[in-house]
Amino acid sequence: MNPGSLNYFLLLIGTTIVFYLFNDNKLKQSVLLLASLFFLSFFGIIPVITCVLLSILNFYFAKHAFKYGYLFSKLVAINTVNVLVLLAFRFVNELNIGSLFSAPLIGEQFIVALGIGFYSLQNIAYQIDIYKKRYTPEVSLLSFTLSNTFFTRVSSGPILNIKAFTASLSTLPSKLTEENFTVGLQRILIGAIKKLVIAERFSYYINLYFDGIDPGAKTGYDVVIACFLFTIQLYFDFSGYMDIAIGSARMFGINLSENFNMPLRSQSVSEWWRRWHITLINWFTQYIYYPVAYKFRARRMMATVFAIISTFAISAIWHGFGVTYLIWGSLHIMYLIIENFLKKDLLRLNEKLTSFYYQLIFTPLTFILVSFSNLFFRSNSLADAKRLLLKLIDWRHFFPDISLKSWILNGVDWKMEFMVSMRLGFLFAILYLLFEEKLFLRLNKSKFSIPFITFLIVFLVVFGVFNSGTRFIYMNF
Amino acid sequence: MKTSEQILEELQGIFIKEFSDSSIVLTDETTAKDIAMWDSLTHMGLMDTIERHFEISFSLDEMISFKNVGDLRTAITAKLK
Amino acid sequence: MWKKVLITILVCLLFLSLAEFATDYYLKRYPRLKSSYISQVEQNADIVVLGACEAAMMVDPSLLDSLTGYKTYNLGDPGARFADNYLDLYQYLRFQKAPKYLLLHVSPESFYSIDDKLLTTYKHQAFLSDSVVFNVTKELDPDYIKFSKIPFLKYSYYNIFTMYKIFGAIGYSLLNKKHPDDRDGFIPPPPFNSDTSALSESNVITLDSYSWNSTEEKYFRKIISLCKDKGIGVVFYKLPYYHNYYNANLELKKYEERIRDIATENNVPYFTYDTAPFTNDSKNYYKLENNLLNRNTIPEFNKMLIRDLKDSVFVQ
Repeated sequence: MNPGSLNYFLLLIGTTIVFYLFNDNKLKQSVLLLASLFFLSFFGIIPVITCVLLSILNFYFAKHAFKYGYLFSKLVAINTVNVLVLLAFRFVNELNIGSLFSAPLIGEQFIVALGIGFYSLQNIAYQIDIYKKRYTPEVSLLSFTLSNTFFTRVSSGPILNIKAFTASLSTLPSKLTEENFTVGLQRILIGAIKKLVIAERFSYYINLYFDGIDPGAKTGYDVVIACFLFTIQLYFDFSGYMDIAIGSARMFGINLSENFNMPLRSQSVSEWWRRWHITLINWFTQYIYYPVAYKFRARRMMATVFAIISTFAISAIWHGFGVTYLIWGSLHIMYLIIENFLKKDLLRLNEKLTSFYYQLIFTPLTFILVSFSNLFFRSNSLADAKRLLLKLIDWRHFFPDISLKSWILNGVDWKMEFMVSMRLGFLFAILYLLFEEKLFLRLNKSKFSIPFITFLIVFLVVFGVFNSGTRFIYMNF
Repeated sequence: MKTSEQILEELQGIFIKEFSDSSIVLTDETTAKDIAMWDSLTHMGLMDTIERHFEISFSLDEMISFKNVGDLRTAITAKLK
Repeated sequence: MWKKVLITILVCLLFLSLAEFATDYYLKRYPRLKSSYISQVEQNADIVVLGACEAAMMVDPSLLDSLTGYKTYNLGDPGARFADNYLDLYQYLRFQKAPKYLLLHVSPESFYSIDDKLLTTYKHQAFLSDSVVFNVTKELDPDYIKFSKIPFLKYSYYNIFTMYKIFGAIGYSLLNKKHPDDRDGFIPPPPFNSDTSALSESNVITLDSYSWNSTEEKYFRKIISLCKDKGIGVVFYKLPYYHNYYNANLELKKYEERIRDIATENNVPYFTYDTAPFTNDSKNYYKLENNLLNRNTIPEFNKMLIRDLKDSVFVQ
C-alpha cells in the first residue's frame, strides 16, 4: 500500500469513521495509532517493530534523563543509538539484504524500515530539545508513539516537532466539521491530481533516460530534458504526496506543517531551500546549521561556510550512501557559498533591473542550477552520472538528428503515446504553476462547493494515470 | 546606563556597518524580512558583532528566538543590567 | 453538508458516464484502431494475416493480392500477444465474412512473456461491453476489470494510451476520415535500419531464461479452434531468422519443435525460412534483435511465402 493508492484511501475513510465514533481523547488517539500500525504492517513486521521500539526507547530515556539530570553524555548515547539505527537500515536498504526480512511490495521499491529517516530526525530533535530544557518531556507514551507512527505522514514527512504535535493531539475535535472535511478533501484531491495527472506522465521518459542504457539518453538535449522533467516531476510527486498527507490529517482536525511554498518560483538557491521540503530544512537549520554557525560565529564568513558544508554534507548522507548524493550536496554547498559572496551584488542588480526582469532571469537560472544538481541526485550510480555528463558536454552531438517538424509531430522517439502524454502533463504542469498562488487560496476556503469539488474529482478521474505504481521517490527515506 | 533609544541607535549603526547599507532604519517592529541582507546566512555574523559591541553574549536559543529588533533590544537591555 | 457530498458524487458519476459514453462512441468509429475499422468497413478478405509486428509489419497484403489473386487484410498488431490476436480475430468474425485462410505468425518468442501482461488491455477497451472481450480481459487483467466499474475509469486506467487514441479519434472525426492511411492493415517499417551498435558481437540479442507460458498456448489453441469452427484454413509461418540467432539461443530450437508438434496435431502447415539467402547479412534487417526485415527484403520474403502457399495450401 502506498499513500495515494486505493487501500490507503479505504484505510483513511475507515479510520475517519471509527475516529468520530468516540468522544474520549485517548480513545481517538488509540484509533489513530492502530490505523498507523496497520498501515506500517503492510510494509512488513520490521517497520512496525522498529518504529514502536524506538519510540518507547526515546520516550522513557528522555523522561528518565530529565528526572535524574540530563547530562551531555546521555544525549550523545541516545542520539548515537538513533543515528546508528538509521544508518544501519539505510545501509541494509542500499544492499537490498532486507528482502530476507519482510515481504516486498509488488512493483514498489523495497523499503526495509519505512519512514525511519523521518521519525529518527524527530526523535533526535526531541532529545536535544529536552536536554536543552526547551520543553519538558512528553507525559503520554501514546501521543509520543503516535507522533512517530502517524500514518498520513510516516513514509515521507512532513517532519513534526514532537512536543508541538502532541500538544495538538490534546484538542482533537469531537465532530467532523464542514471546514475540516472540505479543506481536507480539497487538499487530498489536488494532491492526487499532482501525482496522478501530472507527475506520473513524466515517469516513462525519466526512467528511460536515467535508468535505460540503450537507448537511454542519446544526446545532450535528452539529458537536459531528463533533468528538467525530473525536477518538475519530483516537485509534483512530492508536494502532491504532502497535500494528501496534510489533507488526510485535516480529516482528524490535525494540522500538519506545510512543506512546500511554490519552490519553482525561487530566484536563488537559498530561496529554493526556504521553499522546498521546508520541515526537513528547518530541522537541519535548527539542529545543525545554527549550532555550527553559532559555535564559529567569531570567524564570520568562515562560520557560514563551515555551517553550510556541515548541513549539506549530513543532508546528503541522510538521503543515501551514494557518491552521487555527495556530489549533489557539494553542488548546493558551492551554489550557496557563491550566492553568499555575491549577495550585495545580486541585490544591486535586482534594483537596477527592477524585480520583474530580475525574476525573468533568475527564476529560470535557479531552476537550471537545481536541475543540474538533480542529475546526480537521480542517477543510480556515479558511472551513470558520468555517462550523462559526457553526453551533456558533447556539443557537436547535442541536438537530436531530426527536423523541427519531426520533433513537433513525433518527439525524439517513436513512442507516440508517451510523448503525447508527457506533453499533456507538461501543459498541465505549466497551467498549475501559473495559477498556484490563486489555487492555494481557493483550497483553504472551507465551504463545500459542489462545482469546485466536482471539477477536481472529474478532472482527476478523466486525466489520472492510475495503473503504474506511483514511483514515489522520497518514500525510500 | 544606556537608554532604550541609545541601544536602538547603536544597533542601527551596527546594522548599517555590517550590511554596508546606509539606508537601514530600525524600529522595534523591524524583522529580517525588512532588511534584504539579513537572513540565516548572515544572522550569526551580525549577532557576533552585536555581542562584541555591547560586550555581552547570547546563547544559541536566545539568538534564534528574536522575532524582531524589539526582542533583540529587550534582551540587550536585560544583559546590560 | 452530507447532502452536498451525495449530490457531488451523483454529479461526478453523471459527468463521467457521459464522458465514457462519448469516448465509446468515438473510439468505436476510430479507423486507426483495426478492431474499430473492421467493424465499420467491409473487407471481403480471403486471407487474413494475424500476429504481432512480425505480421503487421512484415506481410504486404498488396503483394499477396497481386500474386495470388486472393484479397488480403492484415489484422496484425505490433505488440499483440495471442490473447490480443484471439480477440482481434473474434471481433473480425463478428463483423466480416469469414476468410478462406488465416496466416498466423508463430515463433518460440510468441510463447515467452517477459511480464505478466498477457493482454494489451487498452486495445480492447472500447468493446468491453461484449461478453467474450469482457471475459478474456477479466481472466488476464482482473485489476482492470475491478476498476472499470467506475465510469470512465476503464479508459483512464491506462490513460497514457487512451488520451492519444481519443485525440486521434476526434481528429479523424473532425476531418471526416473514414479510412486509415494503410487500408489493408499493412504497417511498413521505417525506411532505415535500427541502430545495432549496442548489440553483442554475434549481432543478436540473447534471451535470458526462456520459459514457455501456458496461458499463451491456451489462447494460441483458441485461435486454431475458432478458425476450425468457422471453416478457416490455418497456416503458420515464422520470420526468416538472422543466421546467428539460433546459435546464440540454442534453447529455442526445442520450442520450435513443440510448435511443429501442435501444427501437426491440428493439420496445419508451418513455414519457416531460416535458410533463406538474405539471412546471412545483418544489413537486410530493420531491427536485428526481433528479426524484423527491412523494406527491401520484405518483398523477397513475401514471395517465398506466397510460393509455399500456392504449392501446399491453395492447391486444395
